[in-house]
Amino acid sequence: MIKIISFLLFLALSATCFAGVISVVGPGTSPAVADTFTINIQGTGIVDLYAFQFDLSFDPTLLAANATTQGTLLAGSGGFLPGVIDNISGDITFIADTLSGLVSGVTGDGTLAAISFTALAPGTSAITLNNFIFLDSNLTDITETIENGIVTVAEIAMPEPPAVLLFCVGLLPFISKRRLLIRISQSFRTTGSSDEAPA
Amino acid sequence: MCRRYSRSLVAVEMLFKSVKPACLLLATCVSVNSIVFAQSPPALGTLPHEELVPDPAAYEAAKSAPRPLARRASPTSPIPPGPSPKIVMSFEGIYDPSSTPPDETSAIGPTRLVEFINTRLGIFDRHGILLDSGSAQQFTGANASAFVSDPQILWDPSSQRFYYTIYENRSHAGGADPGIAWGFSTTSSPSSLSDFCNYFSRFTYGGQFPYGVFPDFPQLGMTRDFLLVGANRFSFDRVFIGADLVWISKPPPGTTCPAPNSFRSGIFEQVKSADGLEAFTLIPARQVDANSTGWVVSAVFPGGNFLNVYSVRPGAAAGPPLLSSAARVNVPEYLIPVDAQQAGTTTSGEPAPLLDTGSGKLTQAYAAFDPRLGHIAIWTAHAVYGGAGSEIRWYEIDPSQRRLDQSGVITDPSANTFFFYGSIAPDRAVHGTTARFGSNMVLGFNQSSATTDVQIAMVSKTGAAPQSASVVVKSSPGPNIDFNCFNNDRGACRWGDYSSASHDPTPPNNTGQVWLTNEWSVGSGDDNDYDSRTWNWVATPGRVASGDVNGDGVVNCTDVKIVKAVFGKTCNQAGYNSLADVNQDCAIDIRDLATVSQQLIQGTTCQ
Repeated sequence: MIKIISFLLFLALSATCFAGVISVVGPGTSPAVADTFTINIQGTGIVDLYAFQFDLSFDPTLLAANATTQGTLLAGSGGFLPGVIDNISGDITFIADTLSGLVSGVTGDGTLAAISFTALAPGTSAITLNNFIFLDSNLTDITETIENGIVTVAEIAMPEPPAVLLFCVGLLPFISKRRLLIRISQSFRTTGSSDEAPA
Repeated sequence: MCRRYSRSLVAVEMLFKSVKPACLLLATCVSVNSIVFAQSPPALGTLPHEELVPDPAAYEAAKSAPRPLARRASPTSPIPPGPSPKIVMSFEGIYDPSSTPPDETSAIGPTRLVEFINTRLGIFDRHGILLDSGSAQQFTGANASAFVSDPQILWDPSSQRFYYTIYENRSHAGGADPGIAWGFSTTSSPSSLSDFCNYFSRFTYGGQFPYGVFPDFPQLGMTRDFLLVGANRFSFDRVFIGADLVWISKPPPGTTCPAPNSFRSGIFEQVKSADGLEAFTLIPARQVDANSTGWVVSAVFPGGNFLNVYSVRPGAAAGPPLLSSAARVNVPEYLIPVDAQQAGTTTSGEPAPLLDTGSGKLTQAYAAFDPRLGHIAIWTAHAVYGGAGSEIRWYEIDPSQRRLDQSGVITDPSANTFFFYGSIAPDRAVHGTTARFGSNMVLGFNQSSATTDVQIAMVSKTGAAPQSASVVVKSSPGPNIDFNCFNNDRGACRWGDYSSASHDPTPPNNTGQVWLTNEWSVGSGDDNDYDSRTWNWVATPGRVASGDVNGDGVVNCTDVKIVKAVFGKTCNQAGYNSLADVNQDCAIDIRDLATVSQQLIQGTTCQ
C-alpha cells in the first residue's frame, strides 16, 4: 500500500515586492510516486506583460518533466516556446512566450506556462525559476516578484518485492490488459533507480 | 573687449614663476597647458600658448606643411556608404564665455549625462535638462584660485559610478603644486555637484621652477579594479620628460567617501614606445565590459606607421598592477595634421584665422566586447595629415592579436574640407547583467573649409557594412575668432583639445546609442570675445534592430521561425545565427523574438 505523507508547497520571495507576482503553483492533490501532475507558473497582478522567458530547475532524482504547454496569459499568440527539457540535469531551459503585433501587453492574472511532471521517488524538490526576463509592450524589462516553490512527493510504504510479485502474479488471471503489468514493472525500476542515486 | 579672468593669473604665477612679471605687467592673454584665459592686449612673447608637445619645432614644421593636393578620382565605382547614424536628441552643452578651448568631455549613465569642460561641470538628465552646474574648482573642492585644466569624465558600468580627473595646480603657500584632482559619484545618479567624492593626488609631480614637473593632458580610463590616468610629464619650462601612467584603486561600494589613505595608487613614469623612444600621450581605454585586464594606447609623435598598445594586468594582491611593454600595431603612416580653414573674415576684413587641429594624439579609447568579432576590441581615433590637410582615422584594434580588426577614414579626396577632433565610441550597452550591441560605432567630429564655418558632424559603422556618409549635427553661424587666434606665429585659434563620445548603458531595446559632445562657434562677429560653445547629441549607429531577419523585405512567420530555431544560442556556440540575434547582444532570446513578433501584422499567429 502506498501512503501519501505530505505535499508541501511553500513560497520564497526572491525579488522586490512590486509589480506582478510570478509564482510556482502545485497540483490540487499531492503527487505520489509514478503519479503525473502539473505545475503551473502563475501570474498575479500582471501589468502590460508582452513577453517572457525563464528557465525552471527541479531535482531530477525525484521528478521527471514530461512536457511544457502554453499558459492562458498569452494564449494563442503563436510565440510560445516550450523550452528544452533535460531530465538529467533537472532543467527546462528557454521557456518563452510573446504576443505579436503592436498591441498592449496583458494585464491581469493567468498562467504563463504549465509543466507536466512524473514523480519518481519520495522526497522534496525545489521548483525554481531562473534567468527570467519579462518585457512590457515597449519591450522594456519589467520587474516581477518571483515566488519559487517546493514539491514534496509522498514517502512510500514499500512492500517486500516478493510479496508484490506474488500479489501481481495473483492478479494476472483476473486482468486481461497487459498495460497494467508493464506499469507495475516500470514502477519497480524507477524505485530502484532512485535508491541508487547519489544523495 | 577684454575679459579679465584673474584666477588664471594666480595659476600662471604658480606654474610659471618666471613669467609672472611679464604676464602681470603686460596684462596679456595667457595660455597655460591647453587652456587660454583672456586679458588684453595679446602679446604673449614666449609664454606657452600652444598644445604642449615633445618637439615644438617639429610640431611647427608639420603644421606649416603644404596642404595635400586633391586626389584623382578613383576609376572604380565607390562602395555605397552604409546606414547613416540618426540623431535621437541634441541640446546645447555648458560653456564658459571667458575661456577657450573647452576640452569638452562627457559621459552618459543610466539616468545622467555629466559634461565637464575646462572650467565648468554640468549634470543633465537624459532629456537634456540641466540639473546642476558649477565651476570646476567648486566641483573638485579646489581653491577658487587654483588652476584646473584638461578634464575627463567617464561612466563605469562595473562600479556604477562616474569618475573624473582634471589637472590641478592646487594653490598653497610656497609655489606651484601640480597634481591630479580626481573623484567619483557617490551613486549612479548624481543630481548635484555635491554628489561626488573628491580627492587630489600629487604622485611624483611638483618641485621648483624650472625643473619641477607637472602632468599635462591627463587622460582617464580604467580596468575593473583601477582607474588609469595617462599624463605627459613636462617640466615647468615646458620640456617634455616622458609619458606617465597613474593608477588608483577604485572605491568599494557605498555612498560614503572613503578616506584618501584608503586608496592604493602609484605611477609608471616615462613609459616607452614600441620603438624604444619615449611614448607620448598615453590613452587608457575606457572599459565597457568589466575585466581585470585593461588596455592603453598611444600614437607616435610627430608621426609613424604604428600605434602602441599596452596591457595593464592585476599584480600581486594589494600590489600595483602590471604594465606591459608596448606592443606594435601597424597602421597606415600618419603625420601631424595641418590647421583647418574656416569661412568668413575678421572685423578688419582678413580671412578668418585657422583652427588648430591638434598634434595627432589619439583622443579617446574604449575597450568593449564586439559580438560580431567575438573578442574585446579597442576603438580609438585621431586627426592626421590628409585630405584637405586634416582627416580623421579611426581604428578597431584586437589588442590580444596586436592587429587591426578594421579601420576607416573621414577625409575629403577633393581636398576642400578639413576634419578634426573626432571621438569614437562603440554602441556597446552594459548595465548590470545585461550586455547588448557592440558591433557598431558612432564617431563625432568637426569639419570646416574655406567656404564653410565649423560644423559638428558624425559617421557610423554598423557591423560589417561600410562606413556611413557624414551627417551634419550642428552648423556654426559664423567663424570662430577670439583673442587667442592671434597669439601664435601660425595664426591658428585654439580648438578642442578633444571631444567626447560615450556608450549608452541603457539604450532602447532595439538599438544601441552613443552620446557625443563637440565644439561649435557661436560666430559673434566680435574678434575679442570667445565664440566657443559645446553641443551634446545622442545618436544611433543607423541600423535599428529589424524584425526582417531573413532580409526578404517583410516581417512574417518565417522570421519568427528562424529566431525560434536558434533560440537560446549565444555567439560562442555552434548554431548561433547572428541575423537572429536582432539586438546583437550575443544571445538569441526573448528580446529578439519579441522584437520580431511585435513587427508582425496584428492578429498573426505563427505555428
